[in-house]
Amino acid sequence: MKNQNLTFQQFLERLKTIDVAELLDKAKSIKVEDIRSMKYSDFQNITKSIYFYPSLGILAALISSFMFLLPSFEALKNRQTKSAQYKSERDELPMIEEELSKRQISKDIFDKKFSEFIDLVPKKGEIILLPEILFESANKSNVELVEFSPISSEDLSSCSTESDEERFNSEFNVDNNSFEDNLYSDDFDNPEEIPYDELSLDNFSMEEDQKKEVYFFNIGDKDGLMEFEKSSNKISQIFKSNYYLINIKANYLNSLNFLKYIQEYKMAILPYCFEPRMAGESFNTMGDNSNMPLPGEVEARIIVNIPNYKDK
Amino acid sequence: MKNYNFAENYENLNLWEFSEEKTLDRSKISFKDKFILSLKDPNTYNFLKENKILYLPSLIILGLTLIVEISSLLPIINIKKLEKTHFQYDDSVNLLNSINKEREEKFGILKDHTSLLSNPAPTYLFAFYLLETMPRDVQIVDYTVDNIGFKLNVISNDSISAKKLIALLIDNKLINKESIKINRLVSQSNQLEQEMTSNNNPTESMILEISGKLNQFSLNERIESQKSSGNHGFYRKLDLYQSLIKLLR
Repeated sequence: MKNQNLTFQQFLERLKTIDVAELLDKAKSIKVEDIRSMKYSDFQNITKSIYFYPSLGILAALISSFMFLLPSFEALKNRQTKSAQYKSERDELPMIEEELSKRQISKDIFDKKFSEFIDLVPKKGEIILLPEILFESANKSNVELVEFSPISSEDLSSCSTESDEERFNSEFNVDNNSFEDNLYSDDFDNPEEIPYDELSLDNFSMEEDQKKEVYFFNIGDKDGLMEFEKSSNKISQIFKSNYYLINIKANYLNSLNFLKYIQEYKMAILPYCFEPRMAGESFNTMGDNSNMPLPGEVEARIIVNIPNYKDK
Repeated sequence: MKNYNFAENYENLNLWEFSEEKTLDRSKISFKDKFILSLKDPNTYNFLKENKILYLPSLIILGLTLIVEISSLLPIINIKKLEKTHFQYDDSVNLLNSINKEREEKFGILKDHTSLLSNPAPTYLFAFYLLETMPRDVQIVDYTVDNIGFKLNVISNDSISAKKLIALLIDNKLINKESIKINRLVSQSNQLEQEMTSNNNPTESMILEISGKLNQFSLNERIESQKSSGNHGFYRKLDLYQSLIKLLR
């Protein structure tokens, strides 16, 4: 009992005098028989050791650290983080709400215009309205509609400025490009193809306490405009091309008006080519100055493409 | 009278005091009572006094825990106070995200439709510019225009008009001047020799076949040129597309 009245300082001094190597040697020399021969009184003797109560105290301190102090620290850290998060959310909220109201207003305008734009592509049944459009445009522009008939894409070569060789080369290049586009466009050029569910899943699987990040989407200055600076005959693969041959007879100015009027309808009518030629033999009398400067009657061939959605 | 102790009347008698503890049978008392008794035991007090190392570290740890818990009161109050704002923020961000994702999705659809406006042959525009370009002494026989280029057959009254036509075609902003080619040039002076001699007015008419490629205009240039040429139908379609793109910026 006398030995147990040690001060903490003395205890530390004693701890320093422990020869760990010697203890290890002793531990190695312990045999199974020694353990078997141990009695209850031997265990009781352990309590008499000067190291017993300090060890027990340290053990209890360690256990209470793990049970109370560390979780408490962890909770403090979490609460501080959460508090800081809530504060920053409070600061950002006016900005977010302003952005939200701006986006909602622009969304309403966008949705209206977008549906108007999408409706330019006729549904399959609406292509039947094309003759009506052509007749009306012909009447308005004082043009005689001579012929209107659907043609296949093979017949397009008859109305092209490209030679066969050029066409072959361009088609070969276009095919190569489209192959490359298909390879690389999935993730970057066509956001529709992005696994949308995965994106949403990422957001909604976030822990409740985590601050929600704003998903920004703004297109770049060149996005959606680059296509206008490239020349291509091909239209997007979501469309099915429907080619029509239109033959008209009129003076040159009226044939231009006809081209103009067919665009005034809310339908995507894509001119493929325009081929006017002097009607009859009027151009053979080129020596006659009275006919030269005036635009005479022309017979024009127009090929148009009226695409519709493949899957609609 | 029953509880009266007569022994108290005698000074020389030492009174024996009844002690409950001494008579208690420890095996019959409950664990709780045992614990209370052990706390009252002066030996326990002495034991604890002599072995502070047994509980002091734990008490220090518990004290620290208490300090940590007290210091976390401020964040707790903040959290409670800002909870409503947090839910508002969450709702706003969720709504904003869904709008932005919808915009992204619609941009993809819009891009698929770009070819409807970028790829048609500029038939009207070419015809319109050609009308402005054509010199008076040149007559168009025929031409073909698609979205790549053009092929033009003309009859010119003289070489000067032919040169003028070529110069004007070079200046035409829709035509790529580097690509202009004269595929055929036939002078018809011999065929008209008889006519010339009778009229005493020598003319050297020429048949020309000219071809070339077209410049690809940007969206803005297309909008401006369609508007200025009076092709309002196509202008409106291009303008609608441009306004949709602007709304996505």
